[in-house]
Amino acid sequence: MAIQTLLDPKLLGGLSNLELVARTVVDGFLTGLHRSPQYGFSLEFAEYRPYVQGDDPRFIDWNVYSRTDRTYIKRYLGETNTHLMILFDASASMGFGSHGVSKIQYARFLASALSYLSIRQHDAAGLIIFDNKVRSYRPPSTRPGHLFALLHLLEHAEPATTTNIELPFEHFQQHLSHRGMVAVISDFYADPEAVVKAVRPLAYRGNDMAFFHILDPAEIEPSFGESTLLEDMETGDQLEVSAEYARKEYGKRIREHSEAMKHKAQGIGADYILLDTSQPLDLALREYLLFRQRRR
Amino acid sequence: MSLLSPWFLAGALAVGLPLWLHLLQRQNPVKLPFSSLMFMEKRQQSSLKERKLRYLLLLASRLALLILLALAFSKPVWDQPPAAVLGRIATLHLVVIDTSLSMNYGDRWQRAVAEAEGIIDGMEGGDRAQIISNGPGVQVLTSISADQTELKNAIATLKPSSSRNSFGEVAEAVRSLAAERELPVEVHLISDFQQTAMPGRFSDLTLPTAALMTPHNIADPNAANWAVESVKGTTRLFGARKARLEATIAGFAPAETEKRVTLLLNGQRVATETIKVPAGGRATAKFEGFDAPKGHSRVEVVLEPADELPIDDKRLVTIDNSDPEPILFVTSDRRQRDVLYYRAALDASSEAVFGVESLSPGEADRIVPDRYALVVLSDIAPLSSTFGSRLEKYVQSGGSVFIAVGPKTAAEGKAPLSSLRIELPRATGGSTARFQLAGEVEASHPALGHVERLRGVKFFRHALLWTTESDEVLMRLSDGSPLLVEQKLGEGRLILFASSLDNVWNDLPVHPVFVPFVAETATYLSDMEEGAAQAVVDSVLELRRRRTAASTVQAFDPQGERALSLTESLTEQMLPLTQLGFYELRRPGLTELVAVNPDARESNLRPMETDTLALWKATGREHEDIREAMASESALKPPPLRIWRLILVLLVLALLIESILGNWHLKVQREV
Repeated sequence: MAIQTLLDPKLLGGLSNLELVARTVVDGFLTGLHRSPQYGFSLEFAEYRPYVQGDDPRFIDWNVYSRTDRTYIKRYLGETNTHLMILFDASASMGFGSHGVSKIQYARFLASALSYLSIRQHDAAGLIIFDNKVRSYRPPSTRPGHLFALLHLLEHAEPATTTNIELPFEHFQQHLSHRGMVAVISDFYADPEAVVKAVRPLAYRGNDMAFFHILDPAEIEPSFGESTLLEDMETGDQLEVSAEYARKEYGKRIREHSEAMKHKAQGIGADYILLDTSQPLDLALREYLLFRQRRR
Repeated sequence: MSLLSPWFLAGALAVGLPLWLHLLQRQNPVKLPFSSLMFMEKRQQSSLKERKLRYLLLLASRLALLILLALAFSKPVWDQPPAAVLGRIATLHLVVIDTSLSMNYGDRWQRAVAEAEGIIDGMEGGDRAQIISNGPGVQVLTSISADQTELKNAIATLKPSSSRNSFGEVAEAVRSLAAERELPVEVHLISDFQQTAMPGRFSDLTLPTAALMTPHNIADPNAANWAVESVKGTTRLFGARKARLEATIAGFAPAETEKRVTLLLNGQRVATETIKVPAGGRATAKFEGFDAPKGHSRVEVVLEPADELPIDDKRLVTIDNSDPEPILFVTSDRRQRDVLYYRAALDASSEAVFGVESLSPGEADRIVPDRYALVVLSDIAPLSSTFGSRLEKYVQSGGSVFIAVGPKTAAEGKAPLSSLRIELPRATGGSTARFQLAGEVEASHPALGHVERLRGVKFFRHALLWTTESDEVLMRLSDGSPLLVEQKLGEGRLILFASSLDNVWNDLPVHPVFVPFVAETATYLSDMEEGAAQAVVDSVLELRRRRTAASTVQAFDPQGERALSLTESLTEQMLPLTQLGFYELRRPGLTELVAVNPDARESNLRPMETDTLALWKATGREHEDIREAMASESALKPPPLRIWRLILVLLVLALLIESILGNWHLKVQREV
């Protein structure tokens, strides 16, 4: 898959407007969308607080101490560049597609767009490609050429084997040295509780989490004309399913699953975006950005 | 609803096939890869239920298709509800119209037609009718119909014929036609009810069960008719023999009438005689001593003035003036007494026209027998081989030989041409006073019609003929020994007479019965039976005789039209004589005329007795109870409607539904 395909000019054009909006509101894409959890060095004053043991004495405002004979720590809003780690599900189920664009293809577009957006904003972008284990890992970086390395990995990410979301999250924790943003792109064929349980430590460590739930239209509303023998693309199991069940019961269950994912994500302060592979990708990103905007 | 052919319903068992196919069809769902079965559940029961539901529609359409097909073949009829008839008694009217010769009388036919049309006009709702004519034979002209126009058209095509009426045939036809009818039958017999049309047995008139006869008598009570009933006489002339005819004029009138009888010979008036015909009696007109030209002549005996039934005022005969048929008489009697008696007998007969040539056995060697109508061997010892082989060939090809077994033949122990063993004659008792008489006689044989059992003839001696089962014994002596035996040899015939013709072994030659005996045996053996030149209309003429079996016969009807096609002229054995007049038969070297006259019984217009007619009607009323039951049932139960068309429409509909459903299921599978 060519990079030009991944970075569709039309898609970039669509994102460009939003980027302009983001640049106007904050510096950089990610920093414009959320506050940095770190308090670093910056010019914007935040507050004073009494010095307590353990604080870095470099931050004591000596001018205040001279006037009041008390030690205060001067704090500033830290607006720094952040890290974007993309967790990319390349399990076999992602290979499903009913209308020309498979889920993994759609996920590639999304991950590429996010990486490009991130690096353009001088944010470090990293990538973990996983299925039931971590297949590829690229730590976040802003070095020139890093984007192409990420795109190369994405290009060669093919669906295979099963999904085990706990393993890559453990690996992610091992490799995460900085707090930042974690974007999980997957079809989330797993128990929402298990998914949330796996990522909860990351959220507690101050990472902003975003779940991109990729589903094919046929997975949301399947339309089998006849009783069908379905074969699980991951496990190879077969099950004869009636069209009646697929129309009624399955649709209900997949909606419940999506709602559960959304609910669990909100429980840990994570974002949840359900993406239908039939929707245009820029629309999906725009929805995400708008969602971030509303959150702010 | 009922079924006319219920056995076809067995075809409905074929519904087992689609049932079997639908129940035992292997489930073969479409295999489809899917991302995850995490939210899928196996709902096999529900799936099958749905499949059955849909397939059941297809199954139902297929079952309906087969059942309707079987139903259509079983001819279902729908019994209409009683309300549709409003109590009307539907009746089948069998309108039988007499078209016999007597219906030509006066205006009988016009009145008969008016009567028949009146019956048709009188038909009411639910009634149906069928037109039948009687004469010649019984002919059904229409199917059972309620269409008055069709029925009247059939009546309009009828006209009186020259045939004879027979109520026996009418009753038989009505019994046959009414046998399977569900409706009560009313037989309308439109006729002049001649007494002469009655059958020999009254039981032949019996009407079928529940059939009611309504006679429509169009006869005039005072009808008078005169007819030339018969013409007899010398119709075979040869030599100096003059023709002589005797015409019998029958009068069926209440008063004596004077009539002129005219004889026309080939269209020329020859003689006229005025006679008085008594009331209800007969008179005879004799025409004697007139000559006829060589060959066949057409003779008409015409009654004048004509009456109201002119068709029977004329009778046709043919006169054949030709050379006599030659008979070869081979005898060993030097005195030729047997020839004398034989020739005298033939000359005395007015019917047989034969010329006898007598030869000795030695002279016979020069003779080729083919040109002779008959060969008589009178007491001949073994024939010479030359004549014997010629004679055998003659018989094999259809010729006939009369063999009189005298003392010489008996001494030989075997007759010429015959395989019969013959024993020497013996004295019947040692005394000349002892004799035997003729015993059993096959009187129905055409050669023995008038021999009256040879009454009074004494057989003093005879030869013993050891017959076999294949031989036909026509006459026996009083002791049971065969006297006259017929044998077949190839296409020809042999008749062996176990005694002589010379008035020695018997006194037959001097008895009057010898004349018919000789004449009839000669006529029979020469295949020239009487009556062939005169026939009654609607009879059948035998075209082929033994000696002319392989020849072509061209037949022309009285209008001069060919009565036989070229193929039929070679192969046809019989010719039906359907027209009055002279039929002409042309054989190689021979032309014959056959005069066809009406049946004399048709001339007698006397109607049957009213008591007889009442008795005839009563044969239908004999079953009045059944008839009334049928009538009441008919009042409640109109004729059933045939609903096969409706079944056919449903069948097509089921076929359409089956096609649509089947195609839909196939389409669904293709899409998946």
